[in-house]
Amino acid sequence: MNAESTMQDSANGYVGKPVPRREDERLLKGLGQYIDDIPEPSGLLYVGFLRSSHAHAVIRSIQTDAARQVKGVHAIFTGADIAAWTTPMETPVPGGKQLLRYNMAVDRVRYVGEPVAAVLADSPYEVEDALELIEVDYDSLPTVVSMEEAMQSEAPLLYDHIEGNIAFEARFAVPGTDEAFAGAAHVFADTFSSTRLSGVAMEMPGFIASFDKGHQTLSLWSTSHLPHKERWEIALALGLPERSVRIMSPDVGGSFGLKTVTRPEVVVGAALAMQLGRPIKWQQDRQEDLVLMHARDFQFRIELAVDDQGVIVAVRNTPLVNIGAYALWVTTAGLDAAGAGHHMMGPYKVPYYAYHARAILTNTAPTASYRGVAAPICTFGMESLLERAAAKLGLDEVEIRRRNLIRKEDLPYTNAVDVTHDTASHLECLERVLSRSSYFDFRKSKSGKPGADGKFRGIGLACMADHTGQGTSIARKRGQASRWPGYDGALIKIEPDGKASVHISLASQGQGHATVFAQVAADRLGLRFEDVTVHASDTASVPFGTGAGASRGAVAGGGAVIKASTRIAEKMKRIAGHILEADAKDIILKEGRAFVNGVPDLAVTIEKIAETAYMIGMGTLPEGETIGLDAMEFYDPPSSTYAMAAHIAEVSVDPGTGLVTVERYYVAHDCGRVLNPQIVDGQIVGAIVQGIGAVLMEAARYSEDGQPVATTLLDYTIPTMLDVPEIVLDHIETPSTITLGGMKGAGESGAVGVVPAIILAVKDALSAFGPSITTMPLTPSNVMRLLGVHDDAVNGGT
Amino acid sequence: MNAETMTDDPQLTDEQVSITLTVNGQEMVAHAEPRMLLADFIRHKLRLTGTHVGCAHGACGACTVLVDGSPARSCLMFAVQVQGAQISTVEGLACDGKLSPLQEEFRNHHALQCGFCTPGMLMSARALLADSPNPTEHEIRKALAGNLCRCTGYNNIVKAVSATACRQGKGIQ
Repeated sequence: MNAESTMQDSANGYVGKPVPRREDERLLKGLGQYIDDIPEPSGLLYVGFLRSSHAHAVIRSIQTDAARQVKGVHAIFTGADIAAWTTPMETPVPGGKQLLRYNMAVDRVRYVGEPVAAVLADSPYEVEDALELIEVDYDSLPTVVSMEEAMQSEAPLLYDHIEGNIAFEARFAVPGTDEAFAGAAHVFADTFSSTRLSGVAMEMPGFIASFDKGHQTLSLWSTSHLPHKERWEIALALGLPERSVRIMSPDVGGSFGLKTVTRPEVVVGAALAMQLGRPIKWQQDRQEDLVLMHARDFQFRIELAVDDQGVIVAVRNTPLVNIGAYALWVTTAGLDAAGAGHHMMGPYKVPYYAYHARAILTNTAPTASYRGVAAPICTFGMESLLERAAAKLGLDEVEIRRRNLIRKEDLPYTNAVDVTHDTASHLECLERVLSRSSYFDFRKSKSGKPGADGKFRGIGLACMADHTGQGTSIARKRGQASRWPGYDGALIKIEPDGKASVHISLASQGQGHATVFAQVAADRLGLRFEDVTVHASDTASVPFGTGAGASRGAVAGGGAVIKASTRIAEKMKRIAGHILEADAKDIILKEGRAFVNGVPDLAVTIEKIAETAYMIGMGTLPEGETIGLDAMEFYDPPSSTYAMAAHIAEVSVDPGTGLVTVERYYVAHDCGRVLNPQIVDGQIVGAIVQGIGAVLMEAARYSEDGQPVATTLLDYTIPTMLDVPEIVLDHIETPSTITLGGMKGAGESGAVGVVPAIILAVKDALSAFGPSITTMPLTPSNVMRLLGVHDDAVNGGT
Repeated sequence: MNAETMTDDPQLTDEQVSITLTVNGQEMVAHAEPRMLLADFIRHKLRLTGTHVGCAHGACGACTVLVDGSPARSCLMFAVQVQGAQISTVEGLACDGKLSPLQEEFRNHHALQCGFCTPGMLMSARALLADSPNPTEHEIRKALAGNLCRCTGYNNIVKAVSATACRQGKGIQ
């Protein structure tokens, strides 16, 4: 690891070390403050929602009289009440039109689970009592559940003004792409799909909304980790100025993308708090969690053209994204669809590229961006087609990747969608993971052969690049620049006692921000780690910014912390130089002291510098120096920066049961400068295991009439401790040349490479059967079908 | 701590039942409706919010506590069922504010990220180590397979439990 040698101004050297997380002690003692742990303000009422039991219907009437009689029930509201108090969410759709989402259904429901009525009561038990007694009379409408149904010419429309149920459409082509396909030696194409997923953060969303009628201000404790986005959307919905809305994210128990969304329930709760003048609390339950919002419902038609040497000539992607019944973002309905356009090329040189991306409306729960966004399925398609090309051309499947990976000598390599690869350790990642796993030996001795236990063994390889640390310029290029920006902010204060607080615009969901940003700041400020605290959750005290998501925290937040702490460090050096009668540029800040370079005894403590900066009556601030020691800075990453990795999975497949077991896993990864290796490793391993769930077991399925069928964690199964193999992890650390500090994002890439690595391993294990695997999950029943066993009695598979 | 003062509704109705129990070694009295889940009772009546509810249908293990020494899902029990019982929750693991060896090893091995599942994980691991002081890796995985974690990928949790067993075997506290 070369972090210390190249990290300028990191005199203390916390960056790059596995500093133990300072979050942990509190969480291990059971003293975390998740949303449901916050002491409840007096007068609090619980809210709960009656939800549509129909996938598509007109509401004829709602009877609430019996429910109002339940002990403890204070009030019941329906969509008409809420519509009078809130503005529906508006998202642009093709044709210059808008898609409106009312915060509670007014006269029509479009998915099972849509809120229809809100009950306010003293306790959650009484809320449930009342919900059972509300009667709704519906007139069913024809439903569309799959994208195939939704795109048929005579398909029922979810919105009369949105033609073809298309909520987002974008096209892009490098001129000459069609000609490149026409002239190519070989073209390989297929449709690669995921099965819809649930996020299953262990903590479910919730909020406490409290309105101060005197000041006309709303305080909202919320599980959102994009607090400024939520503030803007809530302010817009309620007609309040942003300054009158305060969002506080307590400890957030995981998100993986789904808590980025401002939920209609939150808007309703905030509106009720305003109307009633009483605090309102909502805690979603797991059954709601599994039906209200999903993710990754994709079908990508991917075409790959290569020359007779297996060198990529052109790629085309036609992604379809099932976004369910509503757009979840004010700015766009196309986060995943546009992402599929952008993420397709991955780590490869692709001279000609085109995409045609669409987001499709159906009578299912809305889908949010989930860890990896579109990249897992793009990478699945690319890696699968490259292996098909290799087989056709008689090339080794590793060699075809080597011929196409971006190399150091290609740098800077600007891809077809105008994002520049600033570093390229793809080949090193590949060679490292091949040797770690003894890949070629495995291929020779084990691949596709039944072992002594009768199971087939296989090995799968995936190379990948992950688009991280996106700045505003990329959103602008994609036509998605909005009030959700691309930068993040840090406000750092050294208090009069010489201890620092760092206020950042990104709220953690478990990534250890309170540790890593303290490491970065302590290094730059020359403070001891324990003298720096991080605050990240309150819009009243943190600067405006984008928030944590899309693998951008280390890049955007880290950059902002570096900028702000560097400015304060310069000022401290000037003050220290003044006190010590030395030149500021000769001052070194380290371990809470400022000393003259080469004369360690000529020193002053940072406490003394802080005292000088604040207690100006007592000390001698240099002539013209401003009072205090604080700085607020924003960092807008200049572009995106690609992190990279190579993954290898070893699997066994039991031909009797179809059960796939991941037996060993290897990954070599490069996310630039590593701030805390323990935390980065945790992100990568956690994401890989989440991916094992997506590939082998998870499926948020619907019946043909739009009823969700996986509504408990017994139906929607996620990996347990028994499903996880040893994961061998190697880091290659190549600092980004474009980001401040050299960081790249690390949160999502594990979830990307794991999809093709496992699927190609299963394909390798079953090579005798020649399966074509283009979808997942590879549940036992689906694997039995790949083996040619068709059992109509098996209903579990897709 | 006086549990009586912690009940938010001192005006008892006929439906409320008085429950006397020992929590983390301390006798407590509080009231609950017969239908109140043990998890809600611990969290909202006793205000011990370290025990988390991740599913309320017995599938995730986040709400695991020890009832008379055995792990139990507090979302699948009613509060009235623990009349007279000894309950251990995550808040009882640390001693005089100092982390227990198990908690320390969780920190040393980065066995938690968001931390929401952690209290249940710790209680299941504690029960395992009490029964089986020197478990194999597979025994650890089997014993904790009913505790779901979505962040860590589990392997660091296995290492943390293993390291605790090793430390206890050597008598290092």
